[in-house]
This record gives sequence, structure tokens and C-alpha cells, in this order.
Amino acid sequence: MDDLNHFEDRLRDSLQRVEAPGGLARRILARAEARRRSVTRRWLAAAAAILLVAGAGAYGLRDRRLRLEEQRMAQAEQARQQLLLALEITSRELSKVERQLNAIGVQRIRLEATQ
Amino acid sequence: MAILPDFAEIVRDNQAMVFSMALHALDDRDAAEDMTQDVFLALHGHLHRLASPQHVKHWLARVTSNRCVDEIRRRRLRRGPSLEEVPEARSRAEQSDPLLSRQLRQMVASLPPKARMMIILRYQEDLEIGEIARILDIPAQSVKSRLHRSVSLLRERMFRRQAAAQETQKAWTT
Repeated sequence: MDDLNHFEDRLRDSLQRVEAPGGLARRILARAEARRRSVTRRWLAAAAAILLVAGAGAYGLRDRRLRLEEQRMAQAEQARQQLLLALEITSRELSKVERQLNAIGVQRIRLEATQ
Repeated sequence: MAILPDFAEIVRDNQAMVFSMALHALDDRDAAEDMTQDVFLALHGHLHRLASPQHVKHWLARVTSNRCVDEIRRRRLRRGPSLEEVPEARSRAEQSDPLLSRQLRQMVASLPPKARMMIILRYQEDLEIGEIARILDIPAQSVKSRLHRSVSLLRERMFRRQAAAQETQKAWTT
């Protein structure tokens, strides 16, 4: 048992912690800082890309809405023009019919009807 | 809950532990330094998930052990020295304590990966069986029996080497 304890002590002695090489902590911190910067740069690039895509999307949406609005207005104007034309044609036809009726003696028919 | 110190302080406080574990496991200073840097860089990305200095220490011991086991297995594929290949002492003059310690470290560094880490955690870091079990994710009973087996094996090899060295010395003096 003493032998075993002695051996374990020897093992403990052989496996004592050793000093880390000089400058190791500095090298670790430098690498960590470089990585932190690189990660920050990547995040900034990603954020810029997201903003760009979102901006382009919003602009596209606004543009599409404007175009639809213009389209609707053009259709409404076209419908108005068609309606005006139809009214003009109707009015012209009615005048024509009135003239024809006058010509075949509507006045007389009216008088006879009232009598 | 303890306040977590900043990263620079954590590195300063724990670099000797991580470096020594890697050095004793790999028996290669350059590889040990590279591994120490990698372990701390991994910690840097993981720090926000750790709550206390105790957590940090446990995390470091666990990650270093796992990486050492992986590295030993990788090196095994490239054929590392076995326990039988560790050089023997040639004369009494060489059997000074530093040489014996060196031989002992080499013998530890030739144990199977998990057994090697158990010995390092037990005798370098003075950890209890339960903590070693948690770090290596092995049942405590297995840690106990494998530690016992490894120490017996190392002890037997050491005594055999010493006997052989004494025989050699006798032959030289007669």
C-alpha cells in the first residue's frame, strides 16, 4: 500500500501543472479579437444586405402600387370618354328622330289625340 | 451566482491548466500550445452560456479532454509510440528524478486516450472520481476501475524498467 501511495505521489509530482509558454495569453487574446472583428464585419455586411433587400422590396412595392393606380385612373378616364361619346351619339340620334317625326306631321296627330 | 470575470482574466487564470493537460496528453509542446489556443477560442464563442468561474473551469476541462482524446486517436492512426516503446533508463546516473518523471510522463502519454485523460485529471488536476466521470461522460464506477487498472499498469512498467536499468548497471560495473 505504501508502494502504491509512493507511486501515486510520484505520478502527481511528474504530472504537475507546467507554466504556459510566454505570450500565449497575448496570442489567444489577439486571435479572439481578430475573430470578434471578423464576426462584427460579417454581421454588418449581413445587416447592410438585409436593409438593401428590404429597401428595394419596399420601393418595388410602392412602384407597383403607383402603376396600378395610374392604370385604374386611365381605365376610369377611358370609361368616362366612352360614356360621353355614347351620350353624344344618343342625343344626336334622338334629334334626328325628332326631326323625322316633325316631318311626317306629328303636330297633326297630337292635335287629333287631344281632341 | 458568482460574477464571470472577463475573457483576458479567464485566459490568464486557466492557461496553465489547459496547456498542461494538452502537454501531458500529447507529449508535444507545439501541439499543446495550438490546442490551448483553439480551446480558448472555442470558449470565447461560448462564454455567454457559462454562468460562473466553476462552470468555465469544468467546460475547459471537458473540452480539452475531448479534444485531446480526438487528437490522440488521430495520431494513433499515424502510429504513436506504444507503452513498450518508451525508452528505458540506461544507467543509475540517468535515473535522477527529472528523468524518472520524464519516463513516467511518456508512459502516461502512451496509455489509451480515455485512460490517459483520467490519469491527467486525477493526478494533475487532483479531481475526484465523480468530477472526472462528469467531465469524461463515463460512469463513476468505470472511472474508478479504469484508473486503478491504469495506475497498476504504470506502476508495474515502472518497476520493471527500474529493475532492467539496475541489471544493466550491474553488467557495466562488472
